[in-house]
Amino acid sequence: MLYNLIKKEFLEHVLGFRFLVSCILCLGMVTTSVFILRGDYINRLRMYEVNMDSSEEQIRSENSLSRLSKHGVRVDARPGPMQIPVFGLEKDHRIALVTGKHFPEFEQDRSLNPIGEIFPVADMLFVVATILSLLAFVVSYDAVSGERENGTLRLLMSYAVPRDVVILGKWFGGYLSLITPFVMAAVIAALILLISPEVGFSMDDWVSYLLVVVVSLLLLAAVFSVGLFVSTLCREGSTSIAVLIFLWVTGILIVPNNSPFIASVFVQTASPTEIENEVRSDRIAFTNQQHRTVYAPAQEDFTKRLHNAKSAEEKKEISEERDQFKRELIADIAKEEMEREGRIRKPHDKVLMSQIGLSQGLSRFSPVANFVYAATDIATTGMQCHFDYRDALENYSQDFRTYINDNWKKGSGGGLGKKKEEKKEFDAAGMPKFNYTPPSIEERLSNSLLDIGSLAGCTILFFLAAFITFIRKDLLG
Amino acid sequence: MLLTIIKKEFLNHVLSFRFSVFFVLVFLLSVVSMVVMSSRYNRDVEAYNLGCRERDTVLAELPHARFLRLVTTSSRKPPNSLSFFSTGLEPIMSQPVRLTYGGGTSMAVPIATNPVFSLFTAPDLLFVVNIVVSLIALLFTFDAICGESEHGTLKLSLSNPVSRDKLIVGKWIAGYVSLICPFLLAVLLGMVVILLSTSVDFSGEDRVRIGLFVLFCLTYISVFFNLGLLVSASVRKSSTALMITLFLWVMVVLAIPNMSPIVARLIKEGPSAGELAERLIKAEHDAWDRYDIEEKKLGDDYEARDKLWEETRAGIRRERNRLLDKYSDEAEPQVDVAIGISRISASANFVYAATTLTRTGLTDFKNLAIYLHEFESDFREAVDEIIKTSEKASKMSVTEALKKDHREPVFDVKKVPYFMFKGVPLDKAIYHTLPNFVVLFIFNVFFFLGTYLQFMRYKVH
Repeated sequence: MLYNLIKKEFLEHVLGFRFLVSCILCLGMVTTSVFILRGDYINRLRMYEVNMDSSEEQIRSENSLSRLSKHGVRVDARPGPMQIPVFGLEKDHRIALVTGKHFPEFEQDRSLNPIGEIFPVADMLFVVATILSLLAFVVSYDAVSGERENGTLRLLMSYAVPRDVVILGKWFGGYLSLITPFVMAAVIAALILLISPEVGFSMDDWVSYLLVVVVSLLLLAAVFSVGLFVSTLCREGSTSIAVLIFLWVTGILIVPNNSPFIASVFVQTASPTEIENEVRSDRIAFTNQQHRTVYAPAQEDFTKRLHNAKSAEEKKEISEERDQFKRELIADIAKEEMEREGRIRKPHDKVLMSQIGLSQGLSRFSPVANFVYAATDIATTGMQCHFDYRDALENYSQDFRTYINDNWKKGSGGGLGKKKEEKKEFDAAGMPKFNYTPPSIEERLSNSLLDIGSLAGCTILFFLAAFITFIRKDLLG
Repeated sequence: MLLTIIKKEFLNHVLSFRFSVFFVLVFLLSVVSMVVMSSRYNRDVEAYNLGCRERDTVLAELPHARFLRLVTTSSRKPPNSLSFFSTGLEPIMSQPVRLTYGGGTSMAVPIATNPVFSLFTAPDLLFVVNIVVSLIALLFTFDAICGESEHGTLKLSLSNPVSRDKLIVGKWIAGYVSLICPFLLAVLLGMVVILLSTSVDFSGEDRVRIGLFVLFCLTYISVFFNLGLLVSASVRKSSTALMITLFLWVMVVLAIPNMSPIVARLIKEGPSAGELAERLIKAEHDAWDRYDIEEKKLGDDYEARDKLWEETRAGIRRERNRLLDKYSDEAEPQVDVAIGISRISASANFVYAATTLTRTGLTDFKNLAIYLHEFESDFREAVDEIIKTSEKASKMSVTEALKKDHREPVFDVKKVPYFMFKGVPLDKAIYHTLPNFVVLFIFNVFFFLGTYLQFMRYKVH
């Protein structure tokens, strides 16, 4: 009986106009976007390789430690191929500049196409989160209320069919008709990615692609259940579509988009300019103080000794001692500055993390937000990898600055200031290199379990609600 | 007769369940969006003022005017008073600008930010109108004609001595008025909220821009209103009409604008940033190598060495600017292609116009790059001037100044220029948005004529 009902519902949808529209949208948008973004990704990969080459060249051509420290090192993480279906936070990704003096920063990409900032990228994530969720409502809005209006529900009930079988049939039949075009599109997209060797999908990437598709299906199930539930509550199709559009707008546009702004009202962070100025003024004050209390008296002392020195040998010895003292002082000051900067930034970081936590918490009321977090985390373009990369950059920055300071102390870096650069004395071979790999698929999956669980819970909750309403409510009156 | 029809249609709309749902939605969204944006604006203003004060403090603590040539200041442009209406490119234009005398300006993107802002689009008023109100406009009208035909009331109306054209015009007027009244009310309320809760002061030019922005909103909404009517007058069943309008909405608002940059990147190859960096570093290296050779020749002549140093620096700056400008020019065609492709969509036209009017658009972004270069040279001139006057006033050398524990600033901090980017002037902005307005207007006329003709031939069952 159930099988017949499922077949009836499925065929009803598939032979209708809606299925045609959803096929056009899914196949059209998902496959086109994967095809085009694949080309985009290959360009980005090439740019990454060119940039890394030029960064290596630059390091090799630096002939003094002070120049290396000032120009810094440009580092980057290799772009991962899963950004093709799920672009996520990749849009904010830039090359990072690590210098001997500053906290690492991203360089403003001059090739930035600013239109990408005005319209969000139409990747698979966008299609599922925005378009397919709307489609899920469109498919389910008149599942019960439409039949009630038409009178066919009464006809159906006049047969010896138990109500629970009817509602189950509606759920499965409708859901299957909803996901068929999407699954077809996902398979075609996978084929496109498979036949592009330059993209380089590893086993890890295929597993994450599969997981993203599964999570998408879960989102569609959740949204479909909500639609079915609203359909059982309403008498007319036009009422249920109005309510569902309202819910769609709230769930997709209001709740997630407002959450970081509302969070920033309750948890206020200092702006990056403020933090930078704090660091800078602290640094200037500290340097001035060191100049006064340590450098100036030591300089006087050395000058006196030089004056009193008898032989040229002694003078040379004292000069060398003085240079060594200067070097060590500069290195120690730099090290101390680094630690002071860390101490200043730490509390600001804590506040930022609690703001982020609040934003995420507020947005999680919407199943679409849950989906976006889960899918982006799995695809390495989400929050988890963002923080992981940030930590890696900060650690590397510390390693780099320590390397500079140690070599400065040893005097193996060339002269001081712009007056005399000792060329060819400096070799950047011992410099630490930046090597970043994102967390493994198991780690990413375990991080998104909360969101996946929420989606599953939402599906079950609303399906049960639809089930109970359908069984108990007087639908024939 | 027309008035009666309008009254009937209007009441029909306003008393429906659909209307109350949408009224609440539009109202809620617009007001919440203004409130949220105004709190963010307040914090931006606070941060900006704090930043300016800190910059002044940092500069005041410099022991000698010559340090102005070594110090790096970080500042950002003043917050945009029209950013409530549209965020646009404001976030990337408000990035801190790092400025050194010798190194020029650079925009650094900070690492420590809240990434949730990037995962979801900012809910500004532009977003509400572009996505939500357009959808609502379609949902208002998709069954205006076919729905009435299905219910049988159209037959009833037409059986009276009422001409079809009066009927369709009446429907149009009543429907549009009932749609934009909640919207305008919400915008008005939002403005009140903004004026009460923030310290913003709208200048005369700002008010003109806001007025034009609202005008564009109304034109944009009516495009979808007309489109919905057109579809409604062209099909028989209202469920078919619903599907068609939703499909069209998805294409116009979501698909075309968001796909256009992607397509543009494939069609037009952009320049490489890696090559640019290589050239920049090489230019600086070569210049410094030349300096070293020349310096040796000068021996102990400090004055001459200093002059050579300045000249080398100036040469590096010039070459750097030349390379950067060349790079920006090479990137232009790609952006133009993307804009061109997206012009098919009414939504994209609306977004371009609205962002240009609120000073958060593409032209403002381009002007910012130009302003950065100008500011560099203004800054350098001002610093040179300050150093000259300061050295005339007090003959203290750098080493002496470092030893002193000074308490007062040695020069007038206010003379150092602030970063005051103002955006594209109003007349240019209007000039840029005129083609967008024309496109929206054409869509309106086209759709309305289509509706009119379709309704004249509409077969009532």
